[in-house]
Amino acid sequence: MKESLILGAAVLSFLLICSGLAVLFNKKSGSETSRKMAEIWSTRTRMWWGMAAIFVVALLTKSVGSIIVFSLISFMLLRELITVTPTRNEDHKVLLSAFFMILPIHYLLLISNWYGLFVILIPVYAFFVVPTMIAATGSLDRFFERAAKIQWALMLCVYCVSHAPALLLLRMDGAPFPNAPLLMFLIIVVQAKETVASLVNTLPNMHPTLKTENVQWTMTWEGVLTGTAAACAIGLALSPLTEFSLPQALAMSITISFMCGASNMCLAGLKSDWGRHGTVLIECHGAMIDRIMPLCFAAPVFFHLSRFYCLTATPVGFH
Amino acid sequence: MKILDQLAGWFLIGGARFVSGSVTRWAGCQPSKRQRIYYANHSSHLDIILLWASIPSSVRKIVKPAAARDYWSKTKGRRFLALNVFNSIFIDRVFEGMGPRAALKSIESVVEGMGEKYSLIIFPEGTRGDGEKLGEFKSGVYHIAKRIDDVELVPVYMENLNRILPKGMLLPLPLLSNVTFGAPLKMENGEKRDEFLERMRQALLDLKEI
Repeated sequence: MKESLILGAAVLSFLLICSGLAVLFNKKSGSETSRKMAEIWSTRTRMWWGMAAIFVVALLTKSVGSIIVFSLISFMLLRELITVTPTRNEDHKVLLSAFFMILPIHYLLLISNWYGLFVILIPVYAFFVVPTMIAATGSLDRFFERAAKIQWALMLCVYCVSHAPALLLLRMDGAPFPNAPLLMFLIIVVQAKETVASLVNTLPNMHPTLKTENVQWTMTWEGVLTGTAAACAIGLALSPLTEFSLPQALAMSITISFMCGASNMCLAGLKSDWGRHGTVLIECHGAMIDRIMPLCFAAPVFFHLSRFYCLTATPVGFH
Repeated sequence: MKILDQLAGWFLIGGARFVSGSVTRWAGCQPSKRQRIYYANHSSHLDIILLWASIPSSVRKIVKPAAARDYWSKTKGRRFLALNVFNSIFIDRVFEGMGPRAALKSIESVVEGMGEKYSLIIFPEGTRGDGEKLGEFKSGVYHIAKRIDDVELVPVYMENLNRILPKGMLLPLPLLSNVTFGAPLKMENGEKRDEFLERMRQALLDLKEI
């Protein structure tokens, strides 16, 4: 109880400081670069308040609340991705079942702790169901392309996202907050990497990681390195909350940073596919994918590494 | 019964906005109470509801959608929606072989319904398209515009609705959509019918790229 209060106070004061800084940055920003950085900072701060709310819900409702919140995130993300992906009207029913059958079943499995089916529902069963339903529509044009698009969207938006709340079910008995430390660790490390990297990326005269004409490619070497350093520092600082030893925490932070980098590269690829019009279309609606994609990539890898290599992180009640 | 109409209206507006996750962009003009003809591409049953819902409520009171009589007066439910909720004007679609007199009568009733106060929502393609191509415009809108002094024609491009609820489907797919209002056009003195319709159509097509 005492620890919860200390943690709560720490988080609250951190958020207040961040919001204060955001106001300050917005007032002071003059040049183009500092304006952009102030914008990044205030978007991030707003997001952190939301995340803190998710944690409060998680602690109060014994994970079910958080799982429901993440299922809504999945829903909105899938909605965004399918919106900018050209699909055919023949596939209307297939897409309906992705939204209203596969997604809810997947999250229900998580709520009911059925781990065995949870990890294979989409990669195995949906993998057969989706193309079969497409074939059953009777229109076989571009069959492979249609099946691949829907399967990819399900993997990214439902399967990957759901591994973040799945962390709530891994119990670390020695940690002060038995069911939330891993999710907290993941989200905070991802945020540290992404915030520092995107701030550094906006600075002038940085070295892009890839020589390309494509404007979507914003990664720079300086961003990657400083972001990873920030992630490692935060990861090490958080290790007492979890049961990770220091080297384990360091390895996890580096892995998470690596996955964030991978997600940024893939996001650049997606955006170049959508073109300017598609990108603007989802930006009008808030472009959730920009903020969630790093988590999508990091969550499943972090989940399985925690499960395999940290022996005390044992699943509770998974059958 | 007024309350029931209102409730049905709110329910439809909320439902349409939720299902279509729509963002309204007033790119070429602002909402206004002056007399206008809003014309849009037509690809889904949601079009009429969503376009109507995208207009702010104070202006919406003076906007009447044109509803095809053959479709909207068929059942009691449709009649209720068309007349009580949307406050629409029935328009008689002119099919081949009906002659010029029927067309004239149909236009007459719309102009009368608009009076000097009401704006109109119309889908000049006449019927739902496949959502990819914009069909040819029927000439009705030209004749209506000609009859009303100083009316503004506002193009409205409705994106993605054909994917949310395509022709013949019952359940909507929860995708996102945009409703974009473009810059108003006005008919020039002595402008020919086909030229004017083409200018309108082009203005709508241009909104696709914004």
